[in-house]
Amino acid sequence: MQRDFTKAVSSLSEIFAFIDEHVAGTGISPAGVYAMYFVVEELFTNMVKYAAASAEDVTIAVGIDGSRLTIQLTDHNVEPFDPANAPKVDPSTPLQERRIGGLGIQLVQQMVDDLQYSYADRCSTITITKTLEP
Amino acid sequence: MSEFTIAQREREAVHVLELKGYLDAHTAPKLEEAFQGLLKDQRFNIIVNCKDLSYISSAGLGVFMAYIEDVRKNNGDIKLSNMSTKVYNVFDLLGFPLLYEITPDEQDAYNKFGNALTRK
Repeated sequence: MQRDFTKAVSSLSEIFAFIDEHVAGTGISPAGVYAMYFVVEELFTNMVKYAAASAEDVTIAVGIDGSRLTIQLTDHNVEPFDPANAPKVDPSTPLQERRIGGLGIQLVQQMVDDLQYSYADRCSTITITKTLEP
Repeated sequence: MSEFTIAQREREAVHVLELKGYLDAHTAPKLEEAFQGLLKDQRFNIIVNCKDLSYISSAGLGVFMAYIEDVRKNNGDIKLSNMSTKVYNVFDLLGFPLLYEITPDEQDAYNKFGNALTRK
């Protein structure tokens, strides 16, 4: 199940609805749905911010395999950008020294079981995997 | 579905923002505007009531971080109240409870302004 979304933050409500549509009935907890919103928003808005030169849509695919939920975001015709290599932020860092961007990716990494990045044919693909809790 | 609204009201010397809905990268500018308005009006004692806040993303968390220093420099504070567990968990993952006062209900947050209010 996949769909293309305009690369703009105004697409977020449609993306949340798309996630809802495909995870409903999988047994995912409300906290799990929240985590998926958060993670997909973070990765999608990174694409909006850092690959704005490409106006092509972002493709989001949702797959369920047994108890594993996989969401894949593909950004077309862009330079490589691996969010997993973003610098981590220590929560004890004083407020004025913190960088907002790094905080989001740090949370993403805490909220998913696996995050893979690949780049081929000028397409960046991020695949996240989350085990569904009963 | 990702609607986001802010209701504002006064409680004596404290300004209360009631957030409702989804605070994401698309809606976060609304909260920024609200904080900018409060700072412009020199209202630095602020409670953000999160009772009806369904979702906050890192863009929403970033707004709180962007304004807390300016507010505290002016002897005020941003206190948060009435968070659902799932919203609190996101603040907690980043260590925000060490940086912000987060109270179970609005009255607790109001009481914590204590001395600041008697100085008015």
